[in-house]
Amino acid sequence: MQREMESIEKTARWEIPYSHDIGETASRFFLELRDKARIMATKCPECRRVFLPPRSYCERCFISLEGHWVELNPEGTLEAFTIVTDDYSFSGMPKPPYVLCLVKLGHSSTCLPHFLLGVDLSDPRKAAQELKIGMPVRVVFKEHREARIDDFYVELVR
Amino acid sequence: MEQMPELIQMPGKWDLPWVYAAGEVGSRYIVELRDNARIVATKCPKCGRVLLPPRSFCERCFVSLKGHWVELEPKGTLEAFTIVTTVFPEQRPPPYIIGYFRIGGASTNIPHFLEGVDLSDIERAKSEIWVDMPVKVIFREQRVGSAADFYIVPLRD
Repeated sequence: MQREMESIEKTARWEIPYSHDIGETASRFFLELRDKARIMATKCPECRRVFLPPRSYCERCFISLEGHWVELNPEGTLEAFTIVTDDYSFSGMPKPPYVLCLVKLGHSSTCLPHFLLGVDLSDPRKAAQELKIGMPVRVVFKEHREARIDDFYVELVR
Repeated sequence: MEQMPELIQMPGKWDLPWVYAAGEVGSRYIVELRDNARIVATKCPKCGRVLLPPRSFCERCFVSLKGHWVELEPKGTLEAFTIVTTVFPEQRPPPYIIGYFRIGGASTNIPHFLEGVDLSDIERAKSEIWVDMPVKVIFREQRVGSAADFYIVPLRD
């Protein structure tokens, strides 16, 4: 005699607080945001690639980029975006809808992830049609900065 | 003299709630602990290995073990152990003993705590437990459907 087997489910929760030493290169990046309101990247003297966020060595040439800092213009282009509409409770994220994006700032060779502001999200589908890769964006620094990635925000240039 | 750069430490936190489904075989294992106070395992019809906790297939033979249940005697041997004296987050306060146990002749070991050992003098306790030591499984009065529905103690004659 086979009876329907009860299905066992267990809920669990991983809560792991940690402290991350971000290192010299990343520290300088954040301190420049906080103290000088400017976006600093590192540039490889050999292949000329510009890394944002800055890296301490070039991944293609395997040479140290220590000391090879460049300042980037606080404007650039929208390279990719996602309009987030579902409330999946991603821990720490804002309430949808919001726009996540990748932007290429100044003469950076790489893209930086951030939120994209200045988008009318009252109709997310319509917004998705209107946003285009390559649209101009700009960086706006906040008055009060704390050496965090949100010391500035990125908005569409209209 | 060169100035030490200001180095930043960023706090982070992983906060991941999740639900684990034990599956058909895992559920039966848990339900048998809870409702019948017995330890059940699956046995491969091909190689004869007895897997505890039970698996739905044999990893060596790749045959299904569904339906191939065996009940195991609630005793066995201590295969490996650690006397834990350090505090780990979310774990019980030390000292305590974690071990791997071969229960009821299973081909595999299960991790569990070893209770019933006096740990007020750790050096003395070390001489009272050894690999291959006989142990027995004791089921709790109140069981909730968890690996903690039983506890393991040395089998003293």
